[in-house]
Amino acid sequence: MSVHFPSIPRSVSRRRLLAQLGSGFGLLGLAKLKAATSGPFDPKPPHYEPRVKNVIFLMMNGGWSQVDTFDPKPSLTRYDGTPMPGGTPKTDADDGRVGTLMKSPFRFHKHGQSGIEASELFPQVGGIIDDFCVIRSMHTNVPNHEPGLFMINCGALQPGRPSMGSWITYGLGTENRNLPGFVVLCPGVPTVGPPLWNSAFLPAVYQGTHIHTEETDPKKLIRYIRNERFTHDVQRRQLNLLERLNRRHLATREGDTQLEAAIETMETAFRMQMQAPEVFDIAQETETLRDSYGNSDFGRACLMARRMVEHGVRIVQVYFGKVQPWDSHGDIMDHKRLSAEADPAIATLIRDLKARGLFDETLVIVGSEFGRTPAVQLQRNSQLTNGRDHNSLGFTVLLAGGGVRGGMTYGATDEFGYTAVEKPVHVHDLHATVLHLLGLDHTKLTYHYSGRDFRLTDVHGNVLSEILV
Amino acid sequence: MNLETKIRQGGISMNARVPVVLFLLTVFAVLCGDAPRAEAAQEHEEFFETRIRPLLAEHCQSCHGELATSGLRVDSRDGLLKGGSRGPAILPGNPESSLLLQAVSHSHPNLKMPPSGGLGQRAIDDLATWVRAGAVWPRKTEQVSQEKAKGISEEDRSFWSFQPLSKPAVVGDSPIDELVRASLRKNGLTPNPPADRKTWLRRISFDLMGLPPTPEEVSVFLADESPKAFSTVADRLLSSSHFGERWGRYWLDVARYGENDFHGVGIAEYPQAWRYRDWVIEAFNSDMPYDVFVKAQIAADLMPGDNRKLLGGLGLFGLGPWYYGISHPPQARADERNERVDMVSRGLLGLTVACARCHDHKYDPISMQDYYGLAGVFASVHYKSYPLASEQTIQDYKRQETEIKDLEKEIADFLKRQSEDLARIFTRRTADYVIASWRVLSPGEMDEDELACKVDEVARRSKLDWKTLERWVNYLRMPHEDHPYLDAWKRLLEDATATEEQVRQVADDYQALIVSLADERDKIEEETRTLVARLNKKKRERTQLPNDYISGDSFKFNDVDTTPMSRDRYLAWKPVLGVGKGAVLRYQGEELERFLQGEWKQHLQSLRAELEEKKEKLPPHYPYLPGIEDWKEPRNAKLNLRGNPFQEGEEIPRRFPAVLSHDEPAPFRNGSGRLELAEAIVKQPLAARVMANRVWHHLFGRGIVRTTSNFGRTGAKPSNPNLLEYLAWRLVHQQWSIKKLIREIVLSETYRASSDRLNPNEAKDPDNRFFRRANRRRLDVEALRDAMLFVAGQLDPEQGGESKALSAKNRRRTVYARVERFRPDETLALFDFPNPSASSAQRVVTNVPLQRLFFLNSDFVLQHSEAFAARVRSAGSDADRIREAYRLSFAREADDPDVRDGLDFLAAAGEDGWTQYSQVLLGSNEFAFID
Repeated sequence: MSVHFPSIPRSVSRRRLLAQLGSGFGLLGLAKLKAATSGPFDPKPPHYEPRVKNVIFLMMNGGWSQVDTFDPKPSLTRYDGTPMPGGTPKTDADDGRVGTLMKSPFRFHKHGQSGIEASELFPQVGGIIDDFCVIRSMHTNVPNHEPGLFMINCGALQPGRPSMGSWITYGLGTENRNLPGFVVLCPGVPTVGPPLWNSAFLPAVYQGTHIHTEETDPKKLIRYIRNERFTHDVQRRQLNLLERLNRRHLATREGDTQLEAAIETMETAFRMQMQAPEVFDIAQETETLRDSYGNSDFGRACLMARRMVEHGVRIVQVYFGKVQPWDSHGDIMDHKRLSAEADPAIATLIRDLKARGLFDETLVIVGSEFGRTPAVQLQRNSQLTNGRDHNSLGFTVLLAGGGVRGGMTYGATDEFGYTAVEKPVHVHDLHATVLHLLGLDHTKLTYHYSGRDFRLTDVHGNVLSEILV
Repeated sequence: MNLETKIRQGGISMNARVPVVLFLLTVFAVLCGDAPRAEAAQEHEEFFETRIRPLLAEHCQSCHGELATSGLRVDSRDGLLKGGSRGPAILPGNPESSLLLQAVSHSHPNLKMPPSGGLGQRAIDDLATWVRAGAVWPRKTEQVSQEKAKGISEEDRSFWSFQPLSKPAVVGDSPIDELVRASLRKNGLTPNPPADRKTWLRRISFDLMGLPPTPEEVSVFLADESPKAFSTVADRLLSSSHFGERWGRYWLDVARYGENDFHGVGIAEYPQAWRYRDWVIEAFNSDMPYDVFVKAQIAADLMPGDNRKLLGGLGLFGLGPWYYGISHPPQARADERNERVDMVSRGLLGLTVACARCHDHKYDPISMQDYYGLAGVFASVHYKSYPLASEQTIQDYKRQETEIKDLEKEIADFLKRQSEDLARIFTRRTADYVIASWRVLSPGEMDEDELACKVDEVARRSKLDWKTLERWVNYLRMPHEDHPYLDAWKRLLEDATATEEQVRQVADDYQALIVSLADERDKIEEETRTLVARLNKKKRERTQLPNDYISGDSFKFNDVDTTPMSRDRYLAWKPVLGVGKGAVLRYQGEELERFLQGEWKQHLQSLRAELEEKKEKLPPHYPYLPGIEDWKEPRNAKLNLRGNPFQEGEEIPRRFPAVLSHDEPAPFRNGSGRLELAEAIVKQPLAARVMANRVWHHLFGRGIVRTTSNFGRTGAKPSNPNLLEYLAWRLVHQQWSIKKLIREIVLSETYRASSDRLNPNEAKDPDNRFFRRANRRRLDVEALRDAMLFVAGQLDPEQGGESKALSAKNRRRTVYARVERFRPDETLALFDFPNPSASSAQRVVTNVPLQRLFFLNSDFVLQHSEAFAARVRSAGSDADRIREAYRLSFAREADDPDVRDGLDFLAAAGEDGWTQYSQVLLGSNEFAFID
């Protein structure tokens, strides 16, 4: 009985490993350490030279509107209030339908050397637009939250497939085994919830660790991370005894690596108690920096995400908020309130990663499960509202970080921002590209289950080579 | 512009990239005889298959396939000829007059398809060509179906796992050992010597009950020198009711037992799911023959005779997983059927039939027809709960439930009406409040406290409702850039010289606006109601039960075409009168009830009192078994081209896979065919091989076939085929008794062997494929948790019943823990509990620090360490207590170094020393592993 790992050669950098494991292994000796470190989270070599080591995935969950943020459409202003040529956009909402075209109430400005336009909702992100690749031609399958969320997280419409974060930690392990490899930050639970970070048929250890970011005490953020009863010294004594017992037990069971591995992970867990809360403790950052991220759940989570990748967490996913905050059916002006929190947090994250030399080894994704219609939302009883409905045919995702060409736009939607028409990018393509940047070939990152090899991208996906440096 | 003009102007180029030859051939075919006609037909067919069918499938069929939106289906020629509500979609030979072409070229005044945007020019040209040439739709593929049934070759049939069962020749009285040794000799290996008795006892106790032996059981066994000592223990364990708790749980992994599902906006709970879990446990305890066990889970309701005791098995499918409201119903239903096919084929036959959903199986002789033959069985069943109560009880319950729902609705409706009326009343007072707001706001800047005082003062002076004034003030002091109706008001506020009269004028105008907005809204509502009534369609009802999916024709507000408010007016209406929180004149909840007085108030109170009373009187839900039953009209599944449920092909009769049938498989005849399916399964040698191998797997930590749910070509080969054959044979020929099979295995010398790694065997066979020794195994989460409770003397022995979430307080066996598909229990997930959304073949074992944190810091471990310490307190001195603790935890006597280490630790520890020490023992490897 053993965990199935990808069949890629292993060559762990011993020096790096030892550096991370720290002290406390004086008794063990190298030979034993070697045997004891073949756990599921060992850093594993990628398929080819990676561009980045870590991923921060910022979800504007609920669906941000492309035509009000990073995909300006002058035609919407020109044809404001008239029916969309070619027929009213199709939506999937039960009680919804859309009416005439609606111009964006927000002004767009050109930014940076690239001159890429961003709306007034994102002045700070606009200011560093040259760091971003703006993919304007995203599309997905179903304009509803649940299937949309399943698709962008797990690459399938139904539950039961592993999350991208699970695939990544399965494929690459994690650099710091004192912390989980895949962390999900959300103040509460987003729509769909835990199935979005489930490892499904991958071993359960690759499941995302959900941290409720409204909890501010860093010691309460990870389950079982502290002992309410015994001091550190008592635990140290317990562990010394435990090691003696386990060593004696092992002596008559020579060569059983699973016993050795269990001894080692206990030591790791012991150290984790100290390190993990520290990583979550954003109070250790300067007040200026915290202010710059913004006094919001999302701002704090972005800062926490930076601390995590800094400490070797492989992938951090940050949901903007619980349920689906960006779902502006009723009033697109809601985007103003939302972006007031999103803009400084995203921009500061990028600047902060750069300041710490992490930008080149981190991939930042900003996106949502789908976009919004260029036409105004009509609701039941035909009320005209000021919002937009779901749109799966065209939306925008931003990428920044190592290996990504900044200051470029990729693809385009039609004249009204409804359908991706130029270089359409399906979510599978985005996944393939993310894996590629991490040094993983999406066609080779497979898991044999139920008689066949499964992939994050199923039988689809093309790497967007044009956006790579 | 009509199509003809468009074509003339070059908008549609009739032959740009279209095979001219096709057109010529068409003409030719008309002029000539049969032979060229055949060629022409082939040409047509190719054009259709490569250019037209994919186009229709991709762009049209998701709405105009099974869903038949507007009555139109484009998945057959007849469908197009018949057309939908607007008449025929095509006129063969005449693309210009064909609605289809007008729609896709956007030359029709209001019909523009597909809604997602125009087809490319090439696609439009192709369609026009096709229609002009007569819209040929190849006859034999009237509906989509390209996959030919794959013939089963002799070679296919000769694969090892499909062979009939044959009993291997064995001579001795211990056939298992004989067969294992023969295989060891052949591979140049020697068996390990037996483990010592204590090790064997601990091993078999965990294996059969999931619990360690008690010190008394150890000493009784060690003292028993009779030749029957071992079989006495085996029989004791097999007859214990803990046996079913252990082995039932093994089955529940295969059965992907779960107690809820993810449901679009939340969770669908199956509150009585545990009845299936208990049924499974009882089936193992009563040693239900495995063939009956299988049949009951597929078709108990169809089995002849008294099947009441079997119905509980139907939970295998009654408990889903069901996919609610995530994707289009045809997709979700197809995915569900796929899950059922996977469960049945992998779980019961070790075959990965679900691989043949999109194409014939790439390795095994399983065709798409085989897949859809099985899928049809599940297309013909639906969820059903089987009540375990009298008709009277059920009726009573349902009546009371309805009354409660009605009453709840009555209260909600009453409050909604009051809220609307109140808002209406306040619209007529708008001017007063605007004037008052001006009085509050005109003095200029003030802080929040001053503002509140001012509101209070003005409200009192003007005899207005304080809260309503506050709301108006808050609204009117905001900047309003999104509509023009408050421009006059803004000027007023900025004008220090404004007169009372001017204010009055602005306020009156604004009130007139608000009243007219309310009127307009009422008119729209009324209009909508009328239109909805005229549509005469049922609104989709959502229930928490599975099957809530028959939609297709369900009512959508999209169908209603009323004139909406203009945007400016809407934006003026919403913040004052809009539904939901925040609108100035909308009161809800307690804020609303403040206005209800006299009869109104009393009415509400009495309704609520009545509701409370009814709720109190409502008994707990009557018991029922979650299961399935056949639809009245069973139906075959249609082949889905490339697994796409929106591209249906030929209908496949419900039947068993061909390779497992002697001749052509006969279609199932009775209802869905479930009983026939179940009977066909248990007749399969595979069914016996798979189950015998599962039993072996649980006792040795490894199957004879390592891939326990895959006996096909991509699975592993049996490491000892004769042994597997013998076990399967025994299973079938001892009335499918699982207990007899287990008994024979655990009493073998093979099972008794030590787990030591003895050279030189280890180098030759490091994975112990041939079972020369026992495998050292880490306890699974159930055994680990139960053992902690057990040695601490805390295990609650109650069996069966409702599931409870795991917590430090929950002291029942882990098999009774809640199993969620929606949110997996963190402790279970931490220790490798399988995902309950799909049939699990075997558990993976991981070793991660988070697991160790559980031992270091969880309330559960700390609490039971303390209990354990208390339990051994009475043993006497520290040394005696240590010895007792070892007996309890490890089923052995403590050695001298053990006692010394313990005493040293306790001497240096404080008052909590014993709890600390106990925690170390419970967290040790010796506790968590069985040798």
